[in-house]
Amino acid sequence: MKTNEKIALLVTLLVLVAVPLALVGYKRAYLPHKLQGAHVISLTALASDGVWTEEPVTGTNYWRKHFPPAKEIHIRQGETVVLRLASADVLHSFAIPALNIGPIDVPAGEVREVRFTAQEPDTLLFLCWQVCSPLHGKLQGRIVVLGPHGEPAQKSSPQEPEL
Amino acid sequence: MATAIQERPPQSEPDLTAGSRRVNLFEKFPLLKRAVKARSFQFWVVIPNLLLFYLFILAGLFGTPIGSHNIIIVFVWILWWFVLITLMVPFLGRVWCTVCPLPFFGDWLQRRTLVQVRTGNTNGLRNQLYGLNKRWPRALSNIWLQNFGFLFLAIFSALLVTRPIVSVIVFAGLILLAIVLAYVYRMRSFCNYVCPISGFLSLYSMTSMLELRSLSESECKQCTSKACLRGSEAGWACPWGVYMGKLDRNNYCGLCMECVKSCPNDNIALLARPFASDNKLKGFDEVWKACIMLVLALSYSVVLLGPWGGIKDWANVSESRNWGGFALYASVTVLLALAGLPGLLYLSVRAGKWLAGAREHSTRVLFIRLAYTLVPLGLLAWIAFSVPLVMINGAYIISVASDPLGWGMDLFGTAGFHWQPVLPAWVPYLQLPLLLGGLFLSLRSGFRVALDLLQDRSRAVGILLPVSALLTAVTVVFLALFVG
Repeated sequence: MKTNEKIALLVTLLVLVAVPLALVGYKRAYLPHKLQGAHVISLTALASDGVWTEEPVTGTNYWRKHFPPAKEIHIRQGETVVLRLASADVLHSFAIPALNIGPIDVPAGEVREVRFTAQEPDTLLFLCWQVCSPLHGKLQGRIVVLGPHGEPAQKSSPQEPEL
Repeated sequence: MATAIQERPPQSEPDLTAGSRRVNLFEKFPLLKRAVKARSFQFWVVIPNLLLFYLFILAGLFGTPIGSHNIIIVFVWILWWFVLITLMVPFLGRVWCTVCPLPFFGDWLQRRTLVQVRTGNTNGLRNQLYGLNKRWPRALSNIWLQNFGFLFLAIFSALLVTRPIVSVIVFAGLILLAIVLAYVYRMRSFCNYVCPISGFLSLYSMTSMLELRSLSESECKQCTSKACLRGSEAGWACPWGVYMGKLDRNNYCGLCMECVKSCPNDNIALLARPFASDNKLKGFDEVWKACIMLVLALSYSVVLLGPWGGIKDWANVSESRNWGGFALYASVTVLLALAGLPGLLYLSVRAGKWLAGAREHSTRVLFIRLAYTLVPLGLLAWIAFSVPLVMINGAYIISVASDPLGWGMDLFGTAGFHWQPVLPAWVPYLQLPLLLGGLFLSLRSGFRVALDLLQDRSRAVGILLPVSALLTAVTVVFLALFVG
C-alpha cells in the first residue's frame, strides 16, 4: 500500500471514530469538568406529554415515545446542584418558588443552566411558570432535599398553586 | 469488446450559438491544475464534507429534535442549500458533485482504494473494479427516477426541513443506496440515475460559468486509448460514463477530475465561460425536470414565504394532522409540475410553431429544445426564493455553529446569539432584479435556441412569442408572490 493510500485510510478511520468520540467526550468528560463536580440534573420540558423528564429527548426518540415525568428528584443538603433545563417543543419557563429560583425562560432547543445549593432538608416543588400548552398544569415535579446522611425532611415547603 | 459507456442520448456537435468566450483556468492558475492532477485531490476535497455530514447525521440522531437548533437542519437546509443554489450552481456548476460525500463509501467498495488507481480489466475498462458490475437497466437510463425522487422529497419538505430525524433518514438512506448500487451496478449509477440532488444539479449546471471540456476534438478522435472513458494507470474510467471527446454539456459530468489525470494528451481543461452557455435539452426527462423545478420553486414560495397560514398547515401535515389539506396541496403541486406547466409549454410551442410556420421541425423537437427557456428563469426563481430564507433564518447558523446538537455547548462563544432577520425590508428589492434577470436570460436563451433551429430572426421571434408570454406570466406570478 502506497503512502498516500495509507494516509487516506488513516484519515478516514480517524473521521469515523473521532466525531462520535468527541461527542461522547463532551458529555462524559468535558461537561462534568466544566460543572466542577456538581450534581447535574437534566430536565427537558415537553408540552405534548405534559412533563419535565430526566430522559434525554433526541431526534431518535422524540417522535415515537411518551416520556415519563421526573416526579421526585433526590439531592443532598449542601451539595451544589446544576439543573440543565431544555425544551423539546415550545417556550417553557422554569421555577422553584421555595428557593426563589426563576422564572427562567427555556426556549425550544436551547439549554439553560441553574446552579443552587439547598441548605436544609426539604421537598421543593418545581414547575413551568407560563401557560405553555393544554397540559401546562402537569409540568411540575418535586426535588427532595435529603439531609447530609440521606435522611428525609421533617417538613415540606408549602405547595404553590398550580399555574 | 464491450465498453462501459452508460446509455445516454448521443452527444451532438458543440453548440456554437453560445459563443466561444472561454478562459482556460488551468492555464491561468497552474497551481489549480497541479492540485487537480494529484491522485489524492478528490479524497481531500470530500473528506471535510464527509466529516461534516457524519456530524450532521449524529446530530440528527442524538441532538435536539428542534430543527432550528440542530446543525443538520440549519447547516443543510439553510446554509448548504443557499450556497449550493446561489453560488455553486451558477458559478461552479456541478462542483458539489466533486466534494459530495454521499458516494464515498460506494466508491470505496467498488475500487477498494481511496486514492490509488487499480489497473486491470473490468467490462472493457482498464481498471479493476469490484462488485457485480451489472449494466444499469436501459429503461431507467434517464433522469426520471431523479425527477420523481426530488418531487417526492419536495412534497414532504415541510417535514424534511424541520425534523432532524427525517433529514437523517433521507441522507443515511441515500448513502446506503449509493453503497448498494455501487456494489450491484457499474460506476456511479447512483449519481447518474438515482440521486435526487444530482438530478437538479444536472439541469441547472447547464447555466453554470464553469465547464470541463476537451481542448481539441480532433486530438480526442485520434486518441486510441480513450483513457477518459476506459481508464488508465493514471486515472479511473469516467465514473459517469462520459467520453470527453463528445462532451458538449455540463449535465452528466460530475467534475470528479479523473479524466484530467487519465488523459494521455493533456487535452482536458477547466474552462470559465459565459452564463447559460449550454442550451440544449435532449429528452422529455430533462424537460419535465425543468418543469418540476420551476413549479416547486413556486410551491415553496407559496408555502414558506407566502402569507397563507392555511396552506402552510396543509404542507406541514406532521403538525397539523390535516391529511385532507395535505392531499390537496400535494395533488395540486404534482399536477402542476407533471401536467399543468408541461401542458402550457406544449401549447405555447404548438402556437409558436404555427406562428413561425416551422414545419421543418417536429413539435417534439421544438418542445424539447424550447423547454430550455424554463431553466435560467427556474434557477433565478430558486435563488430569489433562497435569498430571503437565509436573510431571515441566517442568524441560526451563528448560534448553531457554537452549539451544533442543542446540548448547551458554546464552542465559539456564539451559542447565545439571538435570532434576528437581516435587512428584511430589502428582500423584495433583491428578488425583483433576480426574477427580471431570470426572465431576460430565459428569453435570450430562447431566442438563441430558436435561431439555431430556424436560422431566421423573424421566424425565431415568431416561434418564441407564445413561450415568452408564458414565461412572462410565470414571472408575474412570482413577482406577485414576492413583491406583492
